[in-house]
Amino acid sequence: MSVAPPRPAGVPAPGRGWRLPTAARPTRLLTAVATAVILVIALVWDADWRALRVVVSALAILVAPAVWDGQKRAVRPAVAIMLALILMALIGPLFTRDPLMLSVGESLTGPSGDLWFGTDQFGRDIFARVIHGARLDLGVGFSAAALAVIVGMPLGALAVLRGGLFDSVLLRISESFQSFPTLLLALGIVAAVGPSIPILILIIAVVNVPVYLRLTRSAVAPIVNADFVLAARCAGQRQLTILFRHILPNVKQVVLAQFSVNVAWAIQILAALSFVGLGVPVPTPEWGAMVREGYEQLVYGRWWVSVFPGVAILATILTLNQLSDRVRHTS
Amino acid sequence: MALAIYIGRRLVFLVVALFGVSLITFVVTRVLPGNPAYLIVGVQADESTVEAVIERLGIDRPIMEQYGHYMRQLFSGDLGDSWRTKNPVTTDFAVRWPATIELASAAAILAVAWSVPFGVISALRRRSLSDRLANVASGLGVSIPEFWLGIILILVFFFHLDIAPAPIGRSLSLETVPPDVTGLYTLDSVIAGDGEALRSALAHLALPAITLAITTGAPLLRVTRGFMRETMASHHIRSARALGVPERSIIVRHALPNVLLPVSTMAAMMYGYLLGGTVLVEFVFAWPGIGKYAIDSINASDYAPVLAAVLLSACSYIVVYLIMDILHFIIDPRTRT
Repeated sequence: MSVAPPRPAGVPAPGRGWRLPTAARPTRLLTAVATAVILVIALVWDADWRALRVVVSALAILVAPAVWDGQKRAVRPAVAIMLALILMALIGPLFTRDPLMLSVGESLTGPSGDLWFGTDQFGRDIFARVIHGARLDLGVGFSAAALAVIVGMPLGALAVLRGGLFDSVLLRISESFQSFPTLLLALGIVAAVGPSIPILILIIAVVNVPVYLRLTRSAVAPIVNADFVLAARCAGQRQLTILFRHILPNVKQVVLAQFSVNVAWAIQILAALSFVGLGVPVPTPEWGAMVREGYEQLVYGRWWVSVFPGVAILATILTLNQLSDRVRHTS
Repeated sequence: MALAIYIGRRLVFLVVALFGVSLITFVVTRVLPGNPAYLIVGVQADESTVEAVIERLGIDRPIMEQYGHYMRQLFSGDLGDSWRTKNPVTTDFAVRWPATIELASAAAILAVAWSVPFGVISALRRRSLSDRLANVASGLGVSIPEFWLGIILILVFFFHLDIAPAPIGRSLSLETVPPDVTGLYTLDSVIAGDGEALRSALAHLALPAITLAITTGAPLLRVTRGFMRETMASHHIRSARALGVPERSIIVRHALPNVLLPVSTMAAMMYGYLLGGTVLVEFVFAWPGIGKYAIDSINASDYAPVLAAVLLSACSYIVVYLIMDILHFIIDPRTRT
């Protein structure tokens, strides 16, 4: 894996396009983190915070041109689709039917002009459920991956900085973790502590921490003795300051390319857990759980119940993977 | 001699890794919140029953003592008892392990068979039709959720085209089950010379194996293509070209050996992963292997089999990886420095 040549922190990347005003730059990372947190809360929170969701969506629409302009041409389509998916998750639910509304008379009707994706065995609108499911799947995916980065990235860099026993113990632990099949490990933990959305986020994050730990470790290793790090050390800066101000900004590109893959992976794990009945509680609209409900209808030829939520999973994961691929290839 | 030292070193690593794995499963069961006693007797059980179970499991003792007890059990090959099937977990595993191995092996063979040649060809002809196809196939393959892919295949090949058997496990009737030798239906029916049984075994194996081959072959395709491109652009290939070596012999004798080594490592990792990664597909196709056993156990709040499955699949991954490492050491002189 190639590492971009080290660049002192604070110097913006070369490139043209719309940027945040200079004064805003030092706080850019903070803004991004804050936005991410609000986004995640808005997506996951069960409460029907319409006002907040509309505000967040308005913000997202405002920021979108900047995000769009900041990207290279090859990355743009994936970015656009991703933004559309996030918007769909945020404000889509305002325009659909109630995803929990039961309607026995309409059970298992096929797709039609009125009910685009048909209905499931309880007569619930599958289109509404797919749209509502986006909120949960994207929310859990983003927050689990974010949590894994927040823990794994500094740990990986610290492992290189500290070296010695600390490094080798951390490495052994993450190697052991990675020899478990992710899904089985997640299954085992869920079975022990019981499923609920915060716990699912936590578990998916835990099984992903080693990925970031090792990735960051391998990216930091070549630059840990670079001149600018030594200079910072000579200037008497504390280890944590060196870590966050000088080292991590230089490896963030590598790590962020992994981030969107990881969101995709987190969504896959969540969907898989729900599919086997260990994810979200039953009536909650979630794509994996919906595929499971449709699986039982399959032998009667009612394909729409599981096909549409599956397409939603596929589209989301495909977009996230493409995003990461293209970011990696153009940077 | 060097080989012996190398194997010795790797075995030490193996012990360390297995120790780490057992530690993690221990932490998951005993230290995390949630009382395993309730998992066994159910939440509605009365005080005295719960206490009896706590006593029996020894979870009221100090944590180090529990760990010692747990390790002693592991070393004596005792993985606990299944509450649901009333058997020791090891007995249940012995019945189901062959099914998982058969599925994982078939999937691995199919995955290598489609992805490696495809990767090599697409790397040789950049921007050609096959390169673009490889892009699409690998992009879709890594993104598609395997449980959903399985469902789609069932819908198409069983429900609409009616060329695949119903997705209910390894065999429809007992008559097509070959006499048990290895536990792998395909091998057993060949040994018994039973054509009918072989046909039935292959037919049942086809869809789940194809599902897994598509999802696990896609990353292998990417890796193969990457290595192949890198190798074709390298100096020793340029030198061979300059010397006028024919293109075919450049590819077969100069490029492929360099590519197939790292690819075989990836394939081995994939196989190791498959041994514990067939859970979802086993569930979709009602394939009676370890994965389905684990899920059925979880749904019945039967905890020992789940942990054993987790532990076993991690161990098999480590062992497969170790074997591959040793083979590498024998094949590739560069690892001996």
